Amino acid sequence: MKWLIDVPTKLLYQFGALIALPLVAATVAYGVIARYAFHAPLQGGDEITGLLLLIFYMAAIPMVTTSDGHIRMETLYEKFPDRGRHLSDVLGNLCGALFLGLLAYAQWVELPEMMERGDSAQMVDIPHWPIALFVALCASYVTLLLLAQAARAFGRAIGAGGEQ
Amino acid sequence: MSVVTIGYMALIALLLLLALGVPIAWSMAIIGVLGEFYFTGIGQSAAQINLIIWDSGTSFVFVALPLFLVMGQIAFRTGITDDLYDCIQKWFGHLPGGLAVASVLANTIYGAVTGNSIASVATLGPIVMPQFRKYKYNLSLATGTLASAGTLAILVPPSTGMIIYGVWTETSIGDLFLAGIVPCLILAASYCLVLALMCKLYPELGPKGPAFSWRARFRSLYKLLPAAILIGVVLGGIYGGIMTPSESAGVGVAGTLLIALFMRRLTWAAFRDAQYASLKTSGMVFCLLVSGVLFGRFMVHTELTVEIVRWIGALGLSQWALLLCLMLLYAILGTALDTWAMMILSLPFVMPVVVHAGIDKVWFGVFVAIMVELAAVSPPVGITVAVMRNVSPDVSTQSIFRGCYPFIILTILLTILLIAYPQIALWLPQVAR
Repeated sequence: MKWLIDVPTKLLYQFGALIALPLVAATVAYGVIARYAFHAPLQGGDEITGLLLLIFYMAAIPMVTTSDGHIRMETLYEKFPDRGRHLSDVLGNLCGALFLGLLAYAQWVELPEMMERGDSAQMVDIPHWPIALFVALCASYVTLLLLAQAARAFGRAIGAGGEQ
Repeated sequence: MSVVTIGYMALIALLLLLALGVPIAWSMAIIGVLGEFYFTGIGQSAAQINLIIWDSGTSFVFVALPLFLVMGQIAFRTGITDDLYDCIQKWFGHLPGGLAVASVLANTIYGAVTGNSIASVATLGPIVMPQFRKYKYNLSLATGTLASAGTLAILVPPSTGMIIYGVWTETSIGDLFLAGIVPCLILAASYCLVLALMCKLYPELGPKGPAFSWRARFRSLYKLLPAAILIGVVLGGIYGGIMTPSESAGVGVAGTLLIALFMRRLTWAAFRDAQYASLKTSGMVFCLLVSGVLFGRFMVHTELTVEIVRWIGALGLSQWALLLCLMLLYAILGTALDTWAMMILSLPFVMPVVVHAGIDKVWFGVFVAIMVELAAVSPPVGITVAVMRNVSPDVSTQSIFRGCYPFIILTILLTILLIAYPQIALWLPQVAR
């Protein structure tokens, strides 16, 4: 089961960091160079960058979530006994799951409508639905990750209670 | 139940979740989601989240954050600005407290490349500390100087803190960058002056370092070149009207890669780790930002922010009193939260009050940056102090905090000066327009 968490998270991490982010930088830099050096501004450069950026951010969320990268107020949390910390983790993961689960739900509902309407960028003919599909998949995946983390933390809380 | 009462209940629930240690992004998100459920129903609240993700995620202005992070990370991991300190210490090292003065100046310039205080301290700390030890500096003062000088990065462009503030409050990032420059220079100059005075009066705190010939000093100037080129490209591009801040970030990344390549310091590992580190920070900030937007919109629905504005208005506070109260608020927040969290958590409540009081949003951006800077060196969190402690494990955290106190006092004095003379921050953006 561990690979179900590790492999997609790592793949998304690598995709976001080593493909999407360099592409964002390259598109932005090329846009400036094309404008001044070739007098041929990149049509729809801002839109391409924006869509790449959304892909990048969505690819980043699984790794931030699994590596405990979200900021919390640690003043009290660090002083909790083990069981209290695990229960706090259960609560935190459930909160995140509800938020991202709703995002996933909204994306899956919106997706067919988006395809039907033919939503796309204004300056370049890039359809929005593949990006919406990526957002929906990432949001669904992180929701499952958070639920799995909540279940694991709950198990630990029970275990910690037993030990105490 | 009135909407304002719901707002108060939501605020209490948020504080409770934060106290329980629930991640800040998820705390704001869940309150925002439940609030929107209550007001608009499940379908509408899901659509709202969808809209926020697409709006914020595709915002071209928001490109600047990951790209400036990458630029700083590449500069940090390829060491292209490591020679900065070597050059500056050749010029100032022979003066009383000269090595400490050099570290303040190097940190200021380094911040202009990385825009990130943690990277500044993590980079310069290991380079400078052996020098401090060699010349028998007081370690509390030495580590305090490095931790405090690192925080100057948040005021100097391309400050990532300013980008977040600009995106959140819809304030010109270019203006914010400019507004931070003069306060940063004043602060850096006052740090240097106080260090020189302290070490002149008490030579055991910071003995004189090695003296170099004028020839050696001038010959070392070429080491400033990589940083000068990067700063020139980024700032020159923005204020020469050639590029937007987001575009200058993209060009800055390309420039940093080219310089590192030219200096034969670009490795696959450095490139990869720079991208990974930027992704993690960006992802975390993105979650904070979208949940903050959702929470902020819910607060608007509850009319709580209007109520707070009305309540503060009824107190009849002057701008001075209001800003002093805000200083106190940020000092309290700074004891428990870090940079990003402090900003995103406070701005939904603070901005309406600030706008209502007629305070300039650009000026307030500088004010918030200074408050964040103070939090970075104040107990118990003190993020740059924590980084400094990693660099020098033999110096206790308390000792580092003690070394920061003179700089904390100077920063508070600067804030008072800024409140009395707002033009210190606003002059440069006005001239640039």
